[in-house]
Amino acid sequence: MIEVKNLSKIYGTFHAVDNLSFKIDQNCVFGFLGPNGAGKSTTMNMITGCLAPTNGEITINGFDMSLKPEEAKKNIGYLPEIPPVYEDLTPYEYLSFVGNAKKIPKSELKKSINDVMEKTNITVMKNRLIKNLSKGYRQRVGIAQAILGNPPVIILDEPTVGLDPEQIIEIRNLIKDLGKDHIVILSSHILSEISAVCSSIMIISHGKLVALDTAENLIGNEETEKTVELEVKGQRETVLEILKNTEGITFSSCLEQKENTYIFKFMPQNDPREQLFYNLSNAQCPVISMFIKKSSLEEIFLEIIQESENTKTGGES
Amino acid sequence: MLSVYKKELRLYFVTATGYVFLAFMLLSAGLYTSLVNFVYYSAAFEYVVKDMCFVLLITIPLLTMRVFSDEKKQKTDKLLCLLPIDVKSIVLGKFLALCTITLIPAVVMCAYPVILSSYGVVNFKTAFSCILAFYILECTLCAIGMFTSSLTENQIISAILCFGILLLCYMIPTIAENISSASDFTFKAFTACAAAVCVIIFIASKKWLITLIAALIMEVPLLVIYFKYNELLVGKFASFSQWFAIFGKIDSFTNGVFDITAIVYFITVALLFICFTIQSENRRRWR
Repeated sequence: MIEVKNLSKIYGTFHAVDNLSFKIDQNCVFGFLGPNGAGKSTTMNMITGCLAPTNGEITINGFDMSLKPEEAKKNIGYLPEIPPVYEDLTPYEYLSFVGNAKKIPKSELKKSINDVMEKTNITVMKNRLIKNLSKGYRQRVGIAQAILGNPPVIILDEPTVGLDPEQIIEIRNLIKDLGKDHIVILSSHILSEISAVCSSIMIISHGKLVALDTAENLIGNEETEKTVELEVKGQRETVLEILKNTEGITFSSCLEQKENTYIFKFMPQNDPREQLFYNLSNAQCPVISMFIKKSSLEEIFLEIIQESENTKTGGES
Repeated sequence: MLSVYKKELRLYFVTATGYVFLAFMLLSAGLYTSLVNFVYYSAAFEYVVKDMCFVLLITIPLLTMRVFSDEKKQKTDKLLCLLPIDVKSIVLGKFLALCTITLIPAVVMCAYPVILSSYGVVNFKTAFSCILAFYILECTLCAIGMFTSSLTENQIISAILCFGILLLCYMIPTIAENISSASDFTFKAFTACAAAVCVIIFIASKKWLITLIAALIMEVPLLVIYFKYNELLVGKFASFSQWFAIFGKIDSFTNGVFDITAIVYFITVALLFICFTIQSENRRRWR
């Protein structure tokens, strides 16, 4: 369980993180999104105890980060943007150091190290110096250190940077697996990765939380205009006329790329699809298919960020 | 603390740092023994130890420059922040690793008086107490080097800073002999020191009020003494500067006196710089 209450970080007069509050008590993979300078890294550094907040409380598994930092840190694993690895040690020596520092009992240490090396596929490299490893392997050593000791909360900042496509898939699957019995917070700029891996998404802008919901809710059920793609047989003029005259349709057009295909838009509170079906049926224009086009995460992200920008500008003026 | 200690010690020996330090120290000890003992037909090993202090001006900055600077450069300082270890344990772990590596040449040097005893009369008590004092001095200088390393992420700057401080401490007896003992000069010198301390306080706290209070605490008594009890200031700056003559404290050991006050002095300075390092690291973490 991770709980953040009224978290703020102020540098002089600049509010890097502004009164941020959220609570995650379910095991799943959280995507942490925000434009550059939104306060993502500052928030992650404060959650992991690397940076002191100006105000607010951080509780990891019931341990307050400012009152019981050692206990709180035992429950958290973090991979920063640049993997914090000692280049002159081998992955095994490095993980032994991290395991000892995390106070993993000696009897379990060897097994834990071997397990995380298996999971991250670095067993073959365990006796090579880290400075001789490729960027991808270093990244994996960084991930191994984060998950060593099986902490209930894992925070990964850009974990797939520098990996080849095959490794990216492996690491994404690993993150998905970890999400089954851990709280994983994943920060990434690759939105396709977030939508592929994360079941919930958190978006921050100007240090404030602007969205925290499941990916499905954010992408599918938002109270915005819906776009429908419609395939229907019949004369184009007739179909367009029906679309124009059906109540609730705010915009309609035919698609030039596909024959007999049209798009129209409506607001969720005034759904015209049933009426449209009867109207087309009465005009002897059979409906082949009709489905709501889902917005991509990119569109949702940009929309939410734009909204928060507008609110900020409005508030300031 | 133990995990940091083991990791540090391992890093000294997987990189060349540890071996270079040991080689340089042992080479210097060998050269000085040849020059002092064999060339001059003397079995007094304590003079070798006294001369070896000069070598520490070079070896200590080289040994300590990477302690914290390298962590910052490699971004592994973040890992130390993340792990459930407090700053105190990290600093002590690193300091103990430095003490361990400096112990090796000191232990090897213990064989030299035994070898010399085959050629002449060796005062073992003086020789071994001198080596012990030399080892504690090394540890104290390591604490200073560790502190300078915590101030910057550039190893070269850290080494130069440490070398500067050690050189000043080394030169102080010579400087103290040649400075004026006049009360006017003493007043000006103390005022300059107070100004330097105020600058450091301001850089650390960024608060004018604290700096002003510190300046008043230091300067007002000084002004009172200067104007009312002028004669009290005569020669005081020279004796004050002797406080910082770390290397000079080993002289009494060379003269056959086991100086407990010097040992206490070394330990106090080491503890002071360990505390400074803890503060410096804490400040960086919570900034």
